[in-house]
Amino acid sequence: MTDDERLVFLMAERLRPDDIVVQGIATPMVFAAFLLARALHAPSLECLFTVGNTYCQSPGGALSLESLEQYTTHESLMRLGMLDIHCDTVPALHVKEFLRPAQVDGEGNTNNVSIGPWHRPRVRLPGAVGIPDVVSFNPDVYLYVTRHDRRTLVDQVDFCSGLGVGKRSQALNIMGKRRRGPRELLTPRAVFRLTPHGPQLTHVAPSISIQDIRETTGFEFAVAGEVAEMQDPCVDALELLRQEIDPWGIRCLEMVSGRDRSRMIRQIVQKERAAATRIR
Amino acid sequence: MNKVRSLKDAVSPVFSGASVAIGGMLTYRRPMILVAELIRQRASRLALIGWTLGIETELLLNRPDVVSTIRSAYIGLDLFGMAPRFREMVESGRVSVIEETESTMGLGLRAALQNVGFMPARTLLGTDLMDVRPDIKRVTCPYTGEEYPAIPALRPDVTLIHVPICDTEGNAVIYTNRGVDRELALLADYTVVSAEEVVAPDDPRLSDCGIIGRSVNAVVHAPGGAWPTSCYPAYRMDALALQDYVDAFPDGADQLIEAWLTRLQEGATIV
Repeated sequence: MTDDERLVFLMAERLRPDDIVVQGIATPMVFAAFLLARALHAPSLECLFTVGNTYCQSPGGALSLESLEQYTTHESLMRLGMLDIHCDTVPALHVKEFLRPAQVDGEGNTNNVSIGPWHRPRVRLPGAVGIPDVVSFNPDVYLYVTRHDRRTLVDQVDFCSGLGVGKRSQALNIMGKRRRGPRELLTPRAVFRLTPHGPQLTHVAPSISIQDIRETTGFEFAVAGEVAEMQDPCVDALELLRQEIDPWGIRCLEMVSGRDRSRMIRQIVQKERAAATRIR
Repeated sequence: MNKVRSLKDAVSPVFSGASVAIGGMLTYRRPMILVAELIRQRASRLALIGWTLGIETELLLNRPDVVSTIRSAYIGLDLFGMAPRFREMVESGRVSVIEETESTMGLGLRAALQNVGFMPARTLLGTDLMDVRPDIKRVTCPYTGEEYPAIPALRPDVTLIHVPICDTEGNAVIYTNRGVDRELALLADYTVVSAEEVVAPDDPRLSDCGIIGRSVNAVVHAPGGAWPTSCYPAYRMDALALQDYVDAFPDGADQLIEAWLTRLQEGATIV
């Protein structure tokens, strides 16, 4: 089982039949988890898509790169605008979100703005997007990262663009004592529960030790009384993901960069266009 | 009133230093032909605004002095990765960023729409975003005593939008990925809409319009004007072209962009 598959299953396990999932920018894994959970245990899941700006009740189908817009539009119950979605609907509706930061610390503070100082960044990242907003009001947020290493899981984020649940978030809690913020941090190797008292390791991937996690994690964490081993899915569920939900491996685009991504995108497009020609 | 103009005439009122909002979202329905014309007319010191910004911003940043500031919640190429020219320009201090989140962008537009100075938000406090946005003050809610950041009104000078269908008066059908195009058109002093098809005001396809014609100043007929981004339902995004750009950067970027500008212009001159 590969890291991308592990993450998709971790997300899918956290989806319940009455959930509404929001899929954000460049997160095909979340879409894969949505389709997987719908097929396995949560048939009535609903979804708000950033691509398309649509609300979908019952989409079937598979992941797509060039046709995602067609899919989220044709299958939609409602077409909205971004102001409607982000400023009104998402805060008012109880939604579940899976967010991917470039850096995250043990309090669950996230960074999608800059590595190094903001005025002269070593790496300028794409921007805060909606993460600071969502973690400010939503109690049903999960963070995930595609790499479990000390560059991603840091003692302190270089720039805090989204609040976690630690000291920093006291500034926000001036706005009443509502429960909010990320619940868990999911990685291909571990799950941490995020609490105001610090992160707690609750799950590890098969054949990974707690010592391995300590060596590859940049923040301190407590260990839950019983750290569970992540369960591998059954063969049928894995085949469903590989063959039907995401046959072209679009979810893997979240795992790669540079030449690897270029090669992967070119292969995906070739297969998608060939399949589209066959269908029409 | 018939607002159909040539590409050149529609874009020429965009003045140096204008704040220019870009319609569409991510790699969907970006006004590429209008951006290409800004480059051809040697626009300068533009303050770009977008809910998200991406490939169109890469083109504008490829020429020196076209862009002075970038204001958005996300500047990137979606699944194609980070925007390489944007990264290079910010990392070398040649262009500045006004950090937004989706809420601050949305509430800034809403404040401008309602003609008030600000909207309160439930975001930002406790983050470093507050440090790099010193223009955002705090207010105390007179009812609950809670403290909120006061998001200042945001009003672009110019808005550029590409749509599948527009009538000669500017009423436009968007279909999907509506972004904040309706709001941007309403707010700007000058709005240009380019369209795959320009139709008469009595065309039966003009239902559920996303853009109000009275908020539009100029209409341009520009088939293929969003390429390589999509224009639903006319065409999908061209993922290979977008990847070609990423692969060409940096050494082959100039040549590739020249070829793109030519292709976009040809689409607009067919009509």
